[in-house]
Amino acid sequence: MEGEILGLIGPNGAGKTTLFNIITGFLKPDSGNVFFKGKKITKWKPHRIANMGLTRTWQQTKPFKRLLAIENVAVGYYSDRARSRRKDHEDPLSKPLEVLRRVNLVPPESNLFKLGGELSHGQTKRLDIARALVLEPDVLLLDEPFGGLGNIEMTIMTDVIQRLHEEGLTIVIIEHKMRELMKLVQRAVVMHFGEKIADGTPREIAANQRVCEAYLGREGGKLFA
Amino acid sequence: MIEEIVISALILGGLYALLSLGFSLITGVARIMNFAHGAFYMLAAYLIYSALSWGQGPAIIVSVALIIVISLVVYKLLVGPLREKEAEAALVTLALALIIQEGVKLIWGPDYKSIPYVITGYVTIMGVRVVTQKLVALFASIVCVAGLFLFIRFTKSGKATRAVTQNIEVARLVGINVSTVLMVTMAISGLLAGLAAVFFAPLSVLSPTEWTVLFQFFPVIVLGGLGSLKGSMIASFLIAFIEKTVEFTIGGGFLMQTVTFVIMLVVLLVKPTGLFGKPVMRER
Amino acid sequence: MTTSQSVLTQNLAEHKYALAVSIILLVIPVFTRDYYILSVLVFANIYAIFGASWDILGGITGIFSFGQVLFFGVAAYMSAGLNLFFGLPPIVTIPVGGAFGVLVGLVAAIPSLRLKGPYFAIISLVFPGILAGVIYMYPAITGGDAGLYGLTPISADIIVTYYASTILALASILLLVRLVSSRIGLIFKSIRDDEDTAEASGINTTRYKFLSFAISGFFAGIAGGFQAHQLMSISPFVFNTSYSFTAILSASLGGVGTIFGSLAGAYLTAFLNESLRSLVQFRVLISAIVMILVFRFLPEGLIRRITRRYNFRFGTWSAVKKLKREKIDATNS
Repeated sequence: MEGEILGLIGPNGAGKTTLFNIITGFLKPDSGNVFFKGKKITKWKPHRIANMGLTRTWQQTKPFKRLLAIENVAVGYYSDRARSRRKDHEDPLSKPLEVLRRVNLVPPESNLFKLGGELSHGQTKRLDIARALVLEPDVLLLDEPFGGLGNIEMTIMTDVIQRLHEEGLTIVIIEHKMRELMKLVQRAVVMHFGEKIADGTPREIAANQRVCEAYLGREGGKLFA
Repeated sequence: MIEEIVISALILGGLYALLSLGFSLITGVARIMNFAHGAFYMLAAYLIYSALSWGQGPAIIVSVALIIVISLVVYKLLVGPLREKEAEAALVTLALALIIQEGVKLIWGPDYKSIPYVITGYVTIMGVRVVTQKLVALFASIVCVAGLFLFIRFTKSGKATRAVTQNIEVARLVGINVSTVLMVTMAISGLLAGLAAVFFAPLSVLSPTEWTVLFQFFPVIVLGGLGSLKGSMIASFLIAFIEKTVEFTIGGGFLMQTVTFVIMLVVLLVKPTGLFGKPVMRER
Repeated sequence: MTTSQSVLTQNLAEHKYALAVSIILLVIPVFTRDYYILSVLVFANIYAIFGASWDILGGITGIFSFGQVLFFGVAAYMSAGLNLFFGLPPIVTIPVGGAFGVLVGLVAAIPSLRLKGPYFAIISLVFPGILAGVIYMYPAITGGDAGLYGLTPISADIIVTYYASTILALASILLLVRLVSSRIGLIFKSIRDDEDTAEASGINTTRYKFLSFAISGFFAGIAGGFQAHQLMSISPFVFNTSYSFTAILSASLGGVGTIFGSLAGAYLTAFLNESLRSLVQFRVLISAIVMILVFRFLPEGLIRRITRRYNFRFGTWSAVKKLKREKIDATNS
């Protein structure tokens, strides 16, 4: 649904990242189709899908290690989509700068000139989001944005995601850290062994027996349902 | 004519099998392309040539042993330290191949040489007269391949090797001594190259550019799938068969090469993994 | 000082090393008219362009080819053919050779789309050999084994040839460096660093890979055409792997990814080749040994090692350089 934050959860190996990969064109599905804004995007190349407004971040960070932080973000600025939305005579760095501010990487301006490989883990994760944002997407798929983050970083990240949502972005988040996720999310979908097994508000999910089983095994399922 | 094709294809396939197996082993385990593999084969043959004055038997043993040592030394000094950087490692092995080419030219001279057969004489099969050496070569190659398969499948070291091929990090975690596995693999690869030289090098002429036989078996590697031993095996004979068919029907020399290269290209474009191989394309 | 003046002096200051090098190179003939030395330098310039062509594909875009000589050789043959059979002068045949380099580059780009680095390297290794084979098959047109000879030289005067080669080399390297600091260079580098992330940023990596191949092919072609005329002949030997090696060596000695390093690397390589002139049989051997030593012990290349001391970050996107200057100037003043 447009404008909502959706959670995508499930035990490891359930296929969540694979789903993201298929949706964004990095993997081809054996069967079935993906639709976005009324178009069938199943076999599209990733850049085409990104240019349609559907962007994603990585579970394991993949920044441009040898490029400066601001260059990392600027790459996307030269995508077809960003180019078509550009105002005339706009300074090519203004949008990247703005986006880096939105993810709180910029108040220390020195961050701009750090190499992609030099940033801390949390910073790299937010850089990844900035990179996706520079395309002015309609939908953002976040793959474990809280992965490996410490408490302070998690607070910053929650803040960033919250603000993005308020700005109107539709977001889907894969996450294992339930507390953080449930703070942000209005609805969640649970996957297990490649199938959807539940869909509802966080409270409903937590009470769902099948979900508990998936995480804790049959006994656990009965115990916690 | 069919008999001729079949027999010569089998023999050529034997050579390809030995060479590509050695190459695939390293690629699978160390994840490096050893562009100098063909050069090791050539060097072993030259070593045999030089050591002949000690008698054929000793010459063979010494040369094979020496090649194994050289493989290990090369690995320790050059390839090992560069393991993480694939591009540089490949480049270095290429440079090494060139060094061996030039070194051989300097030491032994650029003119053609040859080394004697292990077994002399002829045999007639299906009405075709075949040099016994060729059959011995084929037989040796089959034995080696079989030996390798048994090793990989049933011995502890073989299993360790397979583990490293699949996931080097986890192999390390479960206590496998990865460096040892790498060294052993390198040694086996050297052994295979050396044996190939013993049996197959007498069948053709020896020259400093002989290491480019590497290019000849690239189509085998690609068709069989990089890193797949089974694939290399099957592809060896397939490609050999195709080459010989072309040679006997249309014409020899460069045409056969071109045909196999075209096949290689087609495979790469259509199914880059080859028949059995690990992904050759970028992930995703 | 007015702004434009300060910008000018700033630019000059940044490029002082480039200027110095250019001036030195251009002034050499004042000091020596020796035919031998100048012709060695001509080759150095050719290698510089050749090495830079490899570097833009490998060091900048991340596609390492072992068969750079494919573009070089095809262009050389085409230039030779145009010169011999149609009487076109070098000033025409060399750029046309470059154009053929572009074509071959585009064709070579196709397998790179599907193959991972090392596998593409195999193909690139093998292709020049196939071309050499094709040349052997049609000796009537191509002169087969012996090759074609009797081409028009660049100029009767070695000094003119030297200047032609130097200007060509400096111009090519300058162009490529500008390219690398532009947004196209930025995109090339993003493909090198992480192709998937580049795709996820909406970049059509296929399109840019083709572009990189075309550029690489062009400059390799120019180098090839020039060499054909310099040697006044061309033979299938040009497709030997050791030739591709020269390009890679030039670029690596200088520093992979620096482009201008190829200039220094090429001069070093030319110097190496010539000092081994009496020991010609050792040439390839020693080059290969040098290559291995460089990669093993000095992987960043000679030039980068030197420029590192000056905190010189090569190839930053020019827009970012400007920004950095503003920020840093702002805090400093």
